[in-house]
Amino acid sequence: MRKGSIRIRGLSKRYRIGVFDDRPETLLGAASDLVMRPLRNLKRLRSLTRFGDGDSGDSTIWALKDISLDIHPGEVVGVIGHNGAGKTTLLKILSQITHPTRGRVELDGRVSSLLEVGTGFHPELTGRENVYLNGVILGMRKREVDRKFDAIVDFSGIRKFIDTPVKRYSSGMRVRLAFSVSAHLEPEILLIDEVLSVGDAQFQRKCLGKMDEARHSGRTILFVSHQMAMVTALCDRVILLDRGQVQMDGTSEEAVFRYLGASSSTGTTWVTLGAEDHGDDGSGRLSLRRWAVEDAQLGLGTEVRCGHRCAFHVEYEAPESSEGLEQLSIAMTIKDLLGTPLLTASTHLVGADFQTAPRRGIVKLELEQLPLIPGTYRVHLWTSVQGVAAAIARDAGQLEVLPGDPLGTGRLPRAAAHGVFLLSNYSWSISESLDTELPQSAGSS
Amino acid sequence: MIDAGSRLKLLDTRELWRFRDLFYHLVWKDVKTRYAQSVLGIGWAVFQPVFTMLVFTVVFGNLAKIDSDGVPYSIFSYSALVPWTYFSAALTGATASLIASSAMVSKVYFPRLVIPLAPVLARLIDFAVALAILFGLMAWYGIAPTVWAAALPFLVLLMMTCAAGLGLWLTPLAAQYRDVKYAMSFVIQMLMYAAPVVYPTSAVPESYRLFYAVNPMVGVIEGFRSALLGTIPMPLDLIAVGSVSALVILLTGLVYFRRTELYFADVV
Repeated sequence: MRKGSIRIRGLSKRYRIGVFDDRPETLLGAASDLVMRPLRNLKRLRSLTRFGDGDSGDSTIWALKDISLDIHPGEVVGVIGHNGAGKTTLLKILSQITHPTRGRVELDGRVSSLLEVGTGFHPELTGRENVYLNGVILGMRKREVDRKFDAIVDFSGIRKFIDTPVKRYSSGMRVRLAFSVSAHLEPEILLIDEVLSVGDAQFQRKCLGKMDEARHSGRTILFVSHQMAMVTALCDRVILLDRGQVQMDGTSEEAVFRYLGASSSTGTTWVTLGAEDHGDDGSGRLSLRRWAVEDAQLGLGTEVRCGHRCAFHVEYEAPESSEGLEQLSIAMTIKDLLGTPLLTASTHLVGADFQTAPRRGIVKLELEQLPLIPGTYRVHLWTSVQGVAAAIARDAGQLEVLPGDPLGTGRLPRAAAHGVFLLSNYSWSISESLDTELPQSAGSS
Repeated sequence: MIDAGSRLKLLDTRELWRFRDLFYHLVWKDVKTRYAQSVLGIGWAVFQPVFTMLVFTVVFGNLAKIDSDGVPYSIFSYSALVPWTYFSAALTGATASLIASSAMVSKVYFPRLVIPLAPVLARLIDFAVALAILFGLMAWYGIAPTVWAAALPFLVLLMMTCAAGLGLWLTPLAAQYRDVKYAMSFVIQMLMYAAPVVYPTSAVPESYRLFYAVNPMVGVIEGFRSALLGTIPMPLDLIAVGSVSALVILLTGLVYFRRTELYFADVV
């Protein structure tokens, strides 16, 4: 086997789940229960680690069931699935934290897992001491920590507090320091479970950069996440787990679409706006009910593919007393997670207000292509009736933009580098001298 | 290589060696954080045995008038309290260690053996401080150590083996059955009366003595007294019996620990 490869054969893991105790109802029952309880407790506690053949199905659960996989050196594999699908259990077995009930795994190379950052941090020790302690817990040698110490502290950005006991740190500082230690591991196989969602936006960007670096250095990475945009951006191959079994093993696009398809058939596809955010301004003239975005391939939901044709639907309602609406104006602004507005579509700004509108209805906004690069965004909705602001939903929910390749070039914009991505309405040309002749646009002539 | 059906080696020395830095750091953390934010600090290592000695001297020495093999009762009991305090602290620390580091155990892999063994080693610091006080007391009473003092390292090793062996048994049990935690202080107190801390071994009937010595701390404590105070000739028979039983406890404890450690993350 080559360094960095993983071979899994018939892997299964059974857990015991709690079974309710029946409570005694009589005084006599309670008295005999008092005597019998220690015996029952002993049986129950013993059963945590012992499984008999006669164990019924309802007291145990197969967190993983007969998984077989081959992962090659240098592959970046995403593991997705609903809660309880077995993702974390798989990572825990691979990192030797827990032992499988059946099956075997062959791992070649040093394995490091980032199941949770900051494990083993001791509040009484200083940041410096914790870096060492955490480093050796994660499997580094002391010499290795010595060598990387400055890089770790610089990455965390808290050099000033490095000799302060960790108990005086803010939780954010603690997480940053902990992640910095983890990020400087150099294993052949790296297992990551949902740890990239820590810290502020700037620190998250740093983490993603580090992740990208690890990817390019030819490391084998197994990455568990619920953030589909991140999975598709980072992974070449994605394994979809469902109730402990491999439901799909394929390219990230295929698996993510399958997963999202599965989730949209079970969950709600519209984002319903609650009383506090449907933005009734008190005038009671209008309220926003719900919204969704439509993608030809993904259907109705909160996910769209970058650069693809899509449509936003916004449902509104006016009180029953009114018969219809006059001069309805609506705007949608998409903001990044920091709240910076990125783009706006507005009936008002382009002079296309609806002169009349039904009492309740769904406004549809069609976009030839969505120029946002993959990532998570927030939607802001604004309305006015007869020129007076009505319902405003400042934070109407999240929009996930997934990678897409609308032009079929095979070249995808990257989150860190490209900002808003222009697809059409522009042309490139080249000449020897400056060419300042710009065709007059229709509006200015 | 992880195999559901595989039998583990009793001791994976290569892996332990690979994680030696971790072991060192855990011991160091234990030492460093034990008395963090306390006024007396390491003074607690002196306080505890010395005060126990004072109480014992009043109660057992002056009131109950228990025989002390010809030396002042205070130094008689203190010489036993030095190894005994170590033993009880190391055992309590080891037993609680797995539960205390449950977050680590369920998140990261490393040889689990280092967890209970770290306090066994770390408590040696307190032991050394208490031992220094014992030497001070000996000087005060004008008692010179015998040539057997050269055997002290062996007695210390025996004492550590005993604490480690019992620790290996109790650590997994404590993780699965929290009763162990509640029983601990009580059991250690009981055990103290099963060792010659407040009374001399000469008070135990001759025919029961070898059976009595199955508790390895009997040999350790009498060995300490014999080597440092010269109360009785070196009780080699007691020490031999104790050594065998300490080794048996250590080996069986190791087997038990290695068998249960696979499921620590599931039960802790």
